[in-house]
Amino acid sequence: MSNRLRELRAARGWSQGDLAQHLGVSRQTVNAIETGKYDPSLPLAFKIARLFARPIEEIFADD
Amino acid sequence: MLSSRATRRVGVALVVVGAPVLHYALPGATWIRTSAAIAAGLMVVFFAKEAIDDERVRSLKLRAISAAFSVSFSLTLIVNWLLNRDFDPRRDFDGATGTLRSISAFDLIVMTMIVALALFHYWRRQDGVAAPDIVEPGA
Repeated sequence: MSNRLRELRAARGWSQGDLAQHLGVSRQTVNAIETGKYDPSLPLAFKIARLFARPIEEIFADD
Repeated sequence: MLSSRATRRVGVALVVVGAPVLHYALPGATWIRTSAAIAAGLMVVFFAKEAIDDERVRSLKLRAISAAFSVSFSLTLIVNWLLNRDFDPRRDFDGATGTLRSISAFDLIVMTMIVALALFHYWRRQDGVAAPDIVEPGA
């Protein structure tokens, strides 16, 4: 699964740590999601979608 | 309720202080008793909550312990084979002259926890390594 998390985060000028704080996860988790090492759970994916005010399918794509 | 750091310190104390005290300072020392203290300490360390205990941490811990159990089970088979190299079923299986030896369940837990802790911290460290093309804002 690929995602646009890094791009969306960069657009807001946030560091991985900033995004992690908004999501209530660790910076390592944000990095793991961005690098494709980890696919977030549905609740976390919804949280990300709400944070960036976009539908989930605009952020995550099934390759 | 203890904090994650305090819980981990209790676990480390069990291994570093508790196990040697049980083994050397108290009478009637047996390896099983020492091994039980080490196993308990390592379990406390492994299952202690992380500072940020998110879903990735829980997922990695589950992966680590699953892999560690397979590794330590294989190691147990190898160690037991070494312990029983001179075991002759026809001579020893009557129960009077010999018995099949095995490491204890505590030893298995110690091995499992050591491997699980190593795997978890390695994978966690890998998570923190950003891809080379990732540049943090302001970096």
